[in-house]
Amino acid sequence: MGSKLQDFLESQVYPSQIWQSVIRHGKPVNDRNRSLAVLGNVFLHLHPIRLPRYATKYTYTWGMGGLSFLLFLVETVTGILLMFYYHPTASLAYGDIKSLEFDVPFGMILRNMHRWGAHAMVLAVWFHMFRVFMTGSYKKPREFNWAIGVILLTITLFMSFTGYLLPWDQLAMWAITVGTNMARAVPLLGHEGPFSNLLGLKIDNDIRFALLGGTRVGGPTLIRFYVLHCIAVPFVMSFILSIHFWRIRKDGGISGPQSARLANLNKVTQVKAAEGKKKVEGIKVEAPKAE
Amino acid sequence: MRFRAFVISSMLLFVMTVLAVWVDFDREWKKYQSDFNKIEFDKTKSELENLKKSMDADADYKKLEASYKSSEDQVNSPEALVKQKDLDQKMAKLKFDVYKAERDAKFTKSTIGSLDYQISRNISNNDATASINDQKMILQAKLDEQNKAVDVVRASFDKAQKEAKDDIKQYTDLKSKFEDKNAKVELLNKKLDVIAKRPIDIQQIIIPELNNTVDRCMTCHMAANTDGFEDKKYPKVFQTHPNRELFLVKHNVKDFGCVVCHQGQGLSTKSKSAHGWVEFWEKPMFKGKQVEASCIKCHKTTDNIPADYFNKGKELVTASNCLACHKIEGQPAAVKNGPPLLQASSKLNATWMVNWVENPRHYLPRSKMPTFPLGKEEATAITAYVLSSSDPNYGIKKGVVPDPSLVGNGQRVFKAKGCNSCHAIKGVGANVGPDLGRVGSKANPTWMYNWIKNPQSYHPGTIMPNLGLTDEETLSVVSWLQTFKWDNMPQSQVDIHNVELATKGKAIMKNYNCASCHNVVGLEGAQNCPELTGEAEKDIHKFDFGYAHRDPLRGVYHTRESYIYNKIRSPGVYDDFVKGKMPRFWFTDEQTSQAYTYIMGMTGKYDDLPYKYIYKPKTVEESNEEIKKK
Amino acid sequence: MYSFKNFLDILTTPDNVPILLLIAMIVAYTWISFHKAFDNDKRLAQGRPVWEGEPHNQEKVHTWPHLLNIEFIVSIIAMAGLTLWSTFLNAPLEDPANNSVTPNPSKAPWYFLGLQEMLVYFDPWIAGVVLPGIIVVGLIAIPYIDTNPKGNGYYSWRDRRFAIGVFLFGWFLWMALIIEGTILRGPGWNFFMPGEYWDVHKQVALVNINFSELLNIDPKTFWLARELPAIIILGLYFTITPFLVAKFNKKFYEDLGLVRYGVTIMLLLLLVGLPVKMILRLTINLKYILVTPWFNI
Repeated sequence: MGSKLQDFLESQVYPSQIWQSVIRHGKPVNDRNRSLAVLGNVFLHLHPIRLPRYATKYTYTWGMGGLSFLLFLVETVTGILLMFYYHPTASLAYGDIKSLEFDVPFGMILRNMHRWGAHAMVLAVWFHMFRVFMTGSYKKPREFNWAIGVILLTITLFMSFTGYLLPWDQLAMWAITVGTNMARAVPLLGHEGPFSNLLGLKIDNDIRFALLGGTRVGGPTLIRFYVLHCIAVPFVMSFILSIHFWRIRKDGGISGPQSARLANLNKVTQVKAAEGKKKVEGIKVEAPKAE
Repeated sequence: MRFRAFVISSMLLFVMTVLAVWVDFDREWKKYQSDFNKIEFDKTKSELENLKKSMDADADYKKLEASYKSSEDQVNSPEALVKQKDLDQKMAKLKFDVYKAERDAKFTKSTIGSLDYQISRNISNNDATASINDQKMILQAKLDEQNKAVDVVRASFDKAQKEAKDDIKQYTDLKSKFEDKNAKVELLNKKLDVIAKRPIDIQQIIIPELNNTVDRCMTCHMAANTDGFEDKKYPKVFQTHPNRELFLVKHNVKDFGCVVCHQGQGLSTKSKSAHGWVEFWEKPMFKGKQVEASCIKCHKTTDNIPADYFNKGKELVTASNCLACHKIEGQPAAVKNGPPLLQASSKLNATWMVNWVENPRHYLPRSKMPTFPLGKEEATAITAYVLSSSDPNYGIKKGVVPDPSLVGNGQRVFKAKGCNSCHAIKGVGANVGPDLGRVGSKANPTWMYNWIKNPQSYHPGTIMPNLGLTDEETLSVVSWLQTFKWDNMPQSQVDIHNVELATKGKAIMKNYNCASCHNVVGLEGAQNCPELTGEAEKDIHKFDFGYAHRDPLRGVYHTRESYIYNKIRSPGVYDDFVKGKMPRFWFTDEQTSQAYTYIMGMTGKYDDLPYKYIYKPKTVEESNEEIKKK
Repeated sequence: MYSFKNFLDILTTPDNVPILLLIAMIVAYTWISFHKAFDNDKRLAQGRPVWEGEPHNQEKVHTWPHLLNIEFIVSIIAMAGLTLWSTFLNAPLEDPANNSVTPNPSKAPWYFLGLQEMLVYFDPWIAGVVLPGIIVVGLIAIPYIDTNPKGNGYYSWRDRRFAIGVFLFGWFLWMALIIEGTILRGPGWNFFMPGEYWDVHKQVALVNINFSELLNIDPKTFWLARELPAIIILGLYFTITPFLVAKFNKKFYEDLGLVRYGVTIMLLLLLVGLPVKMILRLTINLKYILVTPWFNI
């Protein structure tokens, strides 16, 4: 039976135009086809085809970057599903959350996954940063990607913060009230901040007012935070995320001890870079010898 | 190695997913629904069986059934069927004739219609219409002919049909009679079918007018709005709502839902949280009759509706003179229902008064006066102020001394004049006035003499009548009553001339608002305690719960309900930080619950209700008009 | 007043559960990284390659299957964990939002509690705006001011003592503030010991005074005159210290160059200043060091 199906697949399906147009490599049973698979798949293409063995060890990477991305995807999927059941209106939002628990099939687990996933994502991002620091991976040539990473971290926190308001309960309202009260004190831009009188700022025209859509947390805040949480910030985040991923590959893939990184780079480029450096800084740098 | 890790982790995820699905699927209310469906199915089935049994026992029904069956056999006999077939063919032919005639007429009519249109168009275009008019006249004549033809064929069809019907009239009559008798059985059969196929579904009532209320109570309480489940043998959750006609039909449940009256969390489909006894749900469900607190949300007065529990609470609140200190919007300010203290020093024994103020129940277990949270020192100060400030010269007669020889006579007079129909002596007798069993330690003889002679001269509002006793009778009664002393009365020293003590006493009396119930020299009463108008909606953080969390008896959750209930029952219960002023009224559990019900009606929010929910009694003119119409 | 149940109640509040995870992760990952760092240090001391640089580990392997397998398995385990967490712990939902009822304590989400804790010690514009700004900028600046070419791509303590020391100081300070803000700060943002009942009525003596008052200067004095000692002290802290450090640790200064050194030393001074101010508050009840008509420090 199995072999019959296999025969059918191999004689009829795999060679067909449809199959060939989608899957461009052979069965991933040997290194060549697997490499082609990684190369030809837009998602797997985030990885190089080959990488040093230490980079596949959990104790080296802790998988925190990958987990952050996984949780980002979980948040996206559960978030989209939650949007089907939610009105960002002060009079309806709370009841919608209650209905998620009591009425909607899988509503509670959906909401739990979204909330706990968000908390876990904050942790994952923090510990991703911690690991990158502890292995010194921010060093040349990855300085810029580190900066992108720091920005992604603040965006993650902002994502979580804007989402915190949406259940529209006391916990949400007062967490956001406390959080946004800090915006009162922005120098120049907040009405209680130093020098704000120079711009003539009052409680109803400062930066906090712009964020809340009012002088205190209310219906307009809910719709603002909803739009920020569901559209604006995820858009910015995906954009910066793609830069982050792109730069990992462009900066020589996974970090590692000097020799490993150098081996990854094209030797000609390496020599040129070394010469260039020599000229500019007058420091003697040994170009690696070809193996 | 990695394959094994993959297998194990995949199995883990699979188990977790199954678990999650199961936890989500296994909801409490589904079990309630299938339980109820089973109960209702069994109930209907037994009803059906009983009905069938009783019909079988009915001789008339049996007879009818037999004649119906024989008549049916007749109609279905071979000869009758052949005849029927011929008749059917004949009828079909006639029917087709009618159809043809009607069709022709219809076509002609339609053509006339199109001509009409052309005519009107030509008129508006100023074109000639004569020729079309001619055409129309011809067609009109044709239509009349055709209509006549239709009438002819229809008449012959009707006639044939009537003949056919008459032929089997006996059978059809029997049939309809039989079916009438059997209708109930059919209905029950249909109902069984419905119950068996009833889906397990959340039942909800959505009321956008009432703040988007969503009530899912009937998801479990499936029989609340169904007759037939009044019996206590059914589980409580499946019983019909008591007095359904009034509460669910007159107050249409589609408009009112459940939580409007009962409170609780209508959104919930889990038993515990639906009833609202969980954290973060401010309005737990009312227990039992306490639900009457909700009537007043729409009915501005409860005098004309059967909200007895609520009304009893209202009476209690009035009788206890709560309004002397607390304001309730729409309720008149209280009257001073305690005896005046303007001349108290001519009446009272100082030691007795200290004991009385400290706790009236020591002297009179049924005292109307509540127990204030006062210590002996404070009571002494109050006594000093009252006795030093009041007029000691009450009464016309001075210096009355009890005469021991008149004691026996006094007892007789007391009985003869019917004093014991209001006053008890040591628990024997009626309880309208105070028990006089220890009065000799309370009031001095001179005051007592003058009081009996004319009670209103001391206390204009008193209900004690002037019995018109003679001087001798009065002295006898006084002599007799003065023999009743309070044995073992706790002793204390009151220096009523101590100005400092009296000043302190005045301040205490002002603080405890004594002048709200008593006339006191130099003090005015005031409704200066928390207003109760919106008490049932008052923000929970404005209640001082003290250290209540430490004492499980006072409730771990800080709810408005527990606060109000406990405060009415034993007011000092939350006095951990601020010493409360409210006295204890010694309410029983039921009284507390009634007063609580009344207070929980104090939402102070009538105006928030949509107009259609507000109870609008008919005016006299409206009722008269209605009567006239009839 | 004290009971283990009180402590457990706070720990198991649904939104505080991530803090438990956070504590566990801090312990686990600090241990892992130092375990690996010390291992590599030993290797370097013996002249051997670090663990990551061993020929066996440097060997190239194919992404498929070596990396994808482990990624897949880790994802599955993570999803299983998240599903379990979501099945048995419900996200909190309290009373409907109400502008007129302020819960006590009102807390920001846990990841911002470090900032909220800072509000105790600093003006809102410092705690809520300048400080987070400096944290973000300071983090971004790290690769540009850490010019140490060693320790790139492998765990090590010996090669990067200074960098790791400073980073961990800030990291632990931050984590400690968050954990404190979550577990030990109760109603009125008062400090409560673990297990102590969170009593809304708790009264704490407020006796904080400004630096000028510590010196017995009349608060009504013109602010510039009044704050002169504070200005001098702060000025010395931010000007003399860099010179002293540069003088006594010439190599440190020379390695970095003027600009990098300036940025580094300023960030360091701010980082040290944070706990210093906290300690001053807790020991001598210092409210503000510098009070100006526009802002206070």
